[in-house]
Amino acid sequence: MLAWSVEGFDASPEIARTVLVVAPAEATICTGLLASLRLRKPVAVVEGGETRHQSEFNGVESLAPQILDGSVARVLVHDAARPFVDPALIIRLLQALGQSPGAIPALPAPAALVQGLDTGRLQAFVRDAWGVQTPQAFQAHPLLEAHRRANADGFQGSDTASVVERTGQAVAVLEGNPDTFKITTPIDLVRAQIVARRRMHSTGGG
Amino acid sequence: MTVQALIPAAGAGIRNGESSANVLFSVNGRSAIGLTLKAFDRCEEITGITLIVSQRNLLAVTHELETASWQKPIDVILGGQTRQESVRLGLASLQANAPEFVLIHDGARPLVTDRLIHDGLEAARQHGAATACVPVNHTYKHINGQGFVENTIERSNLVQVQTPQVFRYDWILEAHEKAVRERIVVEDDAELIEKLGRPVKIFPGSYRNLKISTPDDARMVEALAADPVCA
Repeated sequence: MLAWSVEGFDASPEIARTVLVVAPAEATICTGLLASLRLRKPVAVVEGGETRHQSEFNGVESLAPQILDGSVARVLVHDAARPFVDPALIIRLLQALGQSPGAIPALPAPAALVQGLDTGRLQAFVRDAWGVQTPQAFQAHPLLEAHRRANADGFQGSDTASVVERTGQAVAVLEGNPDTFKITTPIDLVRAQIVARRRMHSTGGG
Repeated sequence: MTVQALIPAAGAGIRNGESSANVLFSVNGRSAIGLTLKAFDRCEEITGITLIVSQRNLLAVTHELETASWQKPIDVILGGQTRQESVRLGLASLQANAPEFVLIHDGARPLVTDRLIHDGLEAARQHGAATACVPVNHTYKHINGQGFVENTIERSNLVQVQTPQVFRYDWILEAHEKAVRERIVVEDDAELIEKLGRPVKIFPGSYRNLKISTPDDARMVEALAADPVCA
């Protein structure tokens, strides 16, 4: 899964470098895995935190010197558990950053969503919801600022965009790709194997 | 206790493609609708089945019915322009010999289990109306008219609806008749009950209970049928 994600970005001409944020206990395995892939661009391994949000903050902070000196202008934040990266989507997201500080992919919610978990009864149907995906693209400086502000306020984001949204900055939404789903359950893994077979078949081999 | 299974397989669904076509996806050599029907046919708690089809898939579905043997009475009726209209026609067809409960289930969800059916019936017996739901794993947002994020939806209380949905027949018939009178259009039968002001109980669905709308989904169902993962 990790190899698919990392290689997906490494292959993209727009990407200059990768920061991989991992749990401390897995740092050795990940470094070993990275060495076994034939990557063209540098990958830095950074220690994560207790939560996804904290890990993301650590990753963004690790780029702070380059962001502040201007050598990193744009950042894409991506869940490693979404192995099937879409190169065309990366390009579209980065282009959208020309017009707004943030750009994220999303798809319409596939089924009716309802508030009601705490009472066990349907309370209200949520209309017109969009399920967001990654990579989420941001102009680097606004992202760093937004994360530092969230850190000072003790805010934990559910995704990167939520950290930027709370500063009042515009986040554009682009059409996502159904293949870029997140693997969180064993059933998702079953789907991933089917998608991997299909994608390898259509490119004539991995 | 009489329970009629109502299986819509007629629709030109806006969101996920035509259900009339989706039910015909091949799964291990049979069509998806054949598998769904089998699940209800062998369930002891189901009295009879009403299958709602379209002109487009009538022949294929009839073929499916004729090439297997069935224990329960299966009525096949033609649906309408929308899923809501199809369900209404299905409910109307039962008036002469009304069941106590109706269980509505998407024809394109073949991995429905006895457990889901049973839990739905139990919840409906106690509360009159119930729907299967699963917790939400993802981040959802609203988008404004210009294509920018409006807000992130608070998700701690959020669930995703699926079928089976089980209702007292009199309640769901009344809900659909009211919808026609008041020109209410929804995509979910539980929402019509909620508009009557009656509470709808949530019972646990299953991530395995997925709806087929792409070839990958059909392959998923094949893989899951062979594997008890996340049962």
